[in-house]
Amino acid sequence: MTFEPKIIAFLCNWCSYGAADMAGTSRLQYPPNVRIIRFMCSGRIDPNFVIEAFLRGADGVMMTGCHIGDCHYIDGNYKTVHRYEFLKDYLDTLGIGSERLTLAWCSAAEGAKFAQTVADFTEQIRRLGPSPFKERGQ
Amino acid sequence: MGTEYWGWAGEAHLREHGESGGAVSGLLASVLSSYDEVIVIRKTGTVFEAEVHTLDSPQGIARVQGALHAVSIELSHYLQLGRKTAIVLKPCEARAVIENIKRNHVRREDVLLIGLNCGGTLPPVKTKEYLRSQFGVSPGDIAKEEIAKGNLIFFTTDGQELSRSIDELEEAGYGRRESCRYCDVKIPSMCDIACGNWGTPAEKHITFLEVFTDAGAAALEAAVDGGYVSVSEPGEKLAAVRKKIEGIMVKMAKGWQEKMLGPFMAMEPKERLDAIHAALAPCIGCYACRKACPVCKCGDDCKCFQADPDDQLPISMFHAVRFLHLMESCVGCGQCSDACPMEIPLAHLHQLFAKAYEGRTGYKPGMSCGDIPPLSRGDFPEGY
Ligand code: FES
Repeated sequence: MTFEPKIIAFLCNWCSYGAADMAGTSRLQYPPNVRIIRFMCSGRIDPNFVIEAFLRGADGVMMTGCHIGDCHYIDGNYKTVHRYEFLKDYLDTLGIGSERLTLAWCSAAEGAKFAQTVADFTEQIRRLGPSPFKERGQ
Repeated sequence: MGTEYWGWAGEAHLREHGESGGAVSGLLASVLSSYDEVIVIRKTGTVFEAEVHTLDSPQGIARVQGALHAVSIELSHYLQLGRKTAIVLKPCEARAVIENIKRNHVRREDVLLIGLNCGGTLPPVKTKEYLRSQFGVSPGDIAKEEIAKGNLIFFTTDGQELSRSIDELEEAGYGRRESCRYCDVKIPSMCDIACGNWGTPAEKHITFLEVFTDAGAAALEAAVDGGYVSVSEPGEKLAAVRKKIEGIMVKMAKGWQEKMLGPFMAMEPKERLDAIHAALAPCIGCYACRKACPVCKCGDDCKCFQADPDDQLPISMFHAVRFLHLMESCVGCGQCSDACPMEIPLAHLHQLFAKAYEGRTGYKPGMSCGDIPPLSRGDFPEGY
C-alpha cells in the first residue's frame, strides 16, 4: 500500500480558515490529506494539541493563522510563533523531527497560498515517510 | 559577581555547633525579626534522616542543619504564597524557587533565599550499602559526612575517618546522585546570599558569603549590626581558590553531561524515540514523579494531570506533556528519578530536553526571575 500522509491542520477562524474557504470557492485543487481543525485564533493552539496529534497518528501538523499584525486579537499569533519555535526543538529532541511541523500565515484572500502550502507540505511529509510513532503499531 | 565576605556567628554556641563557624545559623537568628519564618532541615537521627523544620523564633537554631549530603529533600515545596520566609537552599532548590516565582506561585520580595554551595548530594540507599560493603561499618554509626577536595569523607561516632575519592566511587557506580554529577550550578548566584566553606582557611571555622542582592545585603547588615554575625574581607587568595573549585566542579559536570546525555543526543532521531519509549515502558502511572517535581505547581488543573499515563499512546500524553513543560523549567534536581518506584531515569530524560533547549537558545531555567519562560512569551517575534 502506498503511503498517504495524514496531516492535521490547525486553522484560525478569521484568516486561514477564510483562506481555506476561498480555496474552496475558487475551486482550487489541493491534496485531501489534510484534516482541518478550526480555532478562534492561532494563539489558542496549545502545544499539547500538536503533540497529541502526533501521538494519535498524524504524520505532519500545520499551524496556520493571520499574518503578523493582522491577528484579530492583536497579538495572539505572536504567541503562536514562540510556541512553534519551542515545539520544533521539542520534536527534534523527542526524535519525531521538526520537519513534520510547519507554520504558515494565510490571509482570507490567500486561498491560492493556502492550497499551495498544503500541497507543498503534503509533498514534504510524503518524502519523509510515515511518522516514527506510526511504526509502533499505532 | 556579588560582594564577598568571610563570616562567622557572633554567639559562641552557634560558632561551635554550626557548620563552618555558624554564619548561616547567625544569619537565620537575625532574619527572624523581619521574616515570619525560616525553613530549614533538622537532623532526626543519623546523617541519612532529616525533617523539614519551620522556625519562628531563634530558639533551637543551633540544632538545624544547612544541608545533609545524603538527604535530598526539596525544600522549595514548603514555601507558601504570602508568607515572608527565609529559606536555606541548595542550588537546584533555589532554581526551583525562581521557576515558581516566574509563574507567580511565590513572590520574590517575600522570600530571602540563602543558598548553599553544593558539590552534589548522595543517594541514601546506595551510600548505606556502600558503607556496609566497603568499610564494614553500620550506617547508624556515622556521625558526620563531608565532601572535601574530591573526597567523600565519613566520620564515625568512635572517631574513625573513612575517606574515598569521589571519582573512584563514581566509576564503581557509587558516589553522588546521577543528577548531581552533571549539574553545572555549584554556587547559587540566583539567591540573595550564597554560603559555603569553599575559599575559607581550613583550620578556622569560617563561612564564605557572597551577597548578590539588596535584600541579601540588608539581611547581612542587620545580622552584623545585631551582633549575630561577624564579617571580614575574605583573603584574596582564598577567594580565588573558591572560584577555582567552582570551575573544576563545573568542568567535571560538563564531562558527565557528555558521558550521560551525549550518547542520547548522538542517536539518530528514530533511535532516540525508541530509547525514550523503552525507558518509559515500565511506567505504572503512579504520578509520583509529578508529585515530587518542585517546578510542576499547576495543581490538579495541570494538563499533564488530565492525561492518563495508561492511555495506550506510543508515549503517554502524561509524559509527553511533562517533557514539554520541563523542557523550559527542569532544574535537574533529580527528585523524579528518586521518587519513581520503577526506577525510570526520568531526570535524565527531562534534562535531555532541557539541555538540548539550553544548548540551542541559552535559556537556562531557574537562573533569573527576569527570564520569561519561552512558552509564556508573547513579545513581538522578530523575523516573522
Ligand atoms: S485571529 Fe487569526 S491568528 Fe489570531
